[in-house]
Amino acid sequence: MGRRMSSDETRHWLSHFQKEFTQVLRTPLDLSSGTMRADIKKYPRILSQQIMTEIHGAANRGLSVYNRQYWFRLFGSMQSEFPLVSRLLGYWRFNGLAMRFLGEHPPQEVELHRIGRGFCAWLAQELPAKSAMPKMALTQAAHIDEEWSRIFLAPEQPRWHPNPDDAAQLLQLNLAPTAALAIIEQQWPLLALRSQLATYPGEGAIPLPSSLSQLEHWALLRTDEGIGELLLAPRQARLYHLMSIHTLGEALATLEQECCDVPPEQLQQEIASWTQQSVELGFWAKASI
Amino acid sequence: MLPRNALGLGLRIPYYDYVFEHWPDVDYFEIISENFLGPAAPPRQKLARIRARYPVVLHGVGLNLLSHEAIDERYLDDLCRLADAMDAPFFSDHLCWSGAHGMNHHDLLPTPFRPELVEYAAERIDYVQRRVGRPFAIENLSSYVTFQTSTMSEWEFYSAVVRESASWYMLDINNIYVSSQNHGFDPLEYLSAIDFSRVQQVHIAGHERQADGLIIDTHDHPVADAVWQLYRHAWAMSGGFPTLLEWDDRIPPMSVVLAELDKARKVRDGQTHE
Repeated sequence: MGRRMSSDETRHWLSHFQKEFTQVLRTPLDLSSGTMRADIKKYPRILSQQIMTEIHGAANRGLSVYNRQYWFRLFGSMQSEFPLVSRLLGYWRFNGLAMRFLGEHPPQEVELHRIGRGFCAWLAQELPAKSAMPKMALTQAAHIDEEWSRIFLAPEQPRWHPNPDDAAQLLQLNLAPTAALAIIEQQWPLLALRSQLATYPGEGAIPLPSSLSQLEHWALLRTDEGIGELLLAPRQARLYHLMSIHTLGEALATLEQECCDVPPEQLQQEIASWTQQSVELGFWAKASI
Repeated sequence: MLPRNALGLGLRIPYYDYVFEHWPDVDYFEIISENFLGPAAPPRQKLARIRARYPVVLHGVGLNLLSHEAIDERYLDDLCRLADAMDAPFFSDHLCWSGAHGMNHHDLLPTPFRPELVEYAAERIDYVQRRVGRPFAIENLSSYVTFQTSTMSEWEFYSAVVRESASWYMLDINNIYVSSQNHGFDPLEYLSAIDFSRVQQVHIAGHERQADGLIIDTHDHPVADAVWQLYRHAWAMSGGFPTLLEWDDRIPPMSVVLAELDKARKVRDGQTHE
């Protein structure tokens, strides 16, 4: 690099330099020592040779700061995005999984909170079928974390309320759920556990509470006051799911078909009440024919 | 521009409740731009309440000015919208790269200091400043490595970039101190290269010294005495600048942060002596 570079040469040189530096940053930390150490032997030698070493000796000392800082910033963000699953696994195991996930899916977007997109599905594939903690509990926890984050960050949308025109053709309406709504399932009291995480000090794995006697369905809805939770009857959750993918008429017909063991009058009453409740609470953002 | 004696705080999530209850005596807040670029409603609603009472300036970490990749136009669109919504007196980002080869590293990364990079950086900074249509202030990094391929000092490089791009300094005094200790230069020599008439704002923050002497720019401690000393030098050399305290990790109660900012107030008001 004796003579002055042209603009294109500068860009090309930067590209090369940044490729090597990226390799340093993304060198996985060594878990074998139990401390997540920087694995400096794996750094590209050409970059190490360019580092000045007068003050702190080894060139790789400075590079290892960037390498560890890179991973720990990502771990912190993943822990914030997945508080429940990271505490159930304990930070050590969670960080190891996060490092593998992020190794396969390098962060690309400028928003740090988006680095965990796809982690929930990845985790479901990666977790062993048999382990001390049921796989289903961890995947449900990851799904709750993912949905919580999604609805928190959802854009503001006006609530849909039926107008007189809608009333005339109610059964033909396609309702779109607001982006601030999630309906989740839990076989363990995971939502309650999530609200109590601050009471568990440290970074170790926290115990999974006993399984519930039956699967629960909950609606999570972001409002001006925060994220509210509403326990749903199983048929109610099914109704909302059907309403979000069919016209209202098709949804009601499908539910009636599926619930032939429920007395028709009771079902009609439930449907009317649950539909009204969903509209009043603001589950729907818009309706179209 | 902000008044030359303005004192501000970096706005962080744990502060919201305190701010909405007490509306503290600070002259302005600085936000991390990236936290407000997306469509998420809750952050925007809270920010709108704060903007109704205080000036807000924008501080970015994602412009990726020294990357080999093109400037992200979608990011710039969002930044323009945010700057307009806040009617920000200026916006700032770092003289660094933060992503390459399609990846975003979410860190502020160094390069060698070379004249070719001055031209490269100045051209991109000039473009961004024109595109956003507001004064663009460039922040100096704290760093943990320097390169044998550098042919200029950091302060020569930084000042040349600001001058060539007709932009502004976002001078981080803590970063000067951290890098001076990590790389063995005189921080006063650094300060003497700064044209203080071009300083939009000064940052102060805490750091952590490792067992082997390396200093990490953690923003999780009170401002170190040595940094306050450097700050007093800068204040005496300049005749004043807007000062902003950053505290990003292990964030204490806001009363503690406000007490730390009071130390800058005392320097400003001539109540402390070396």
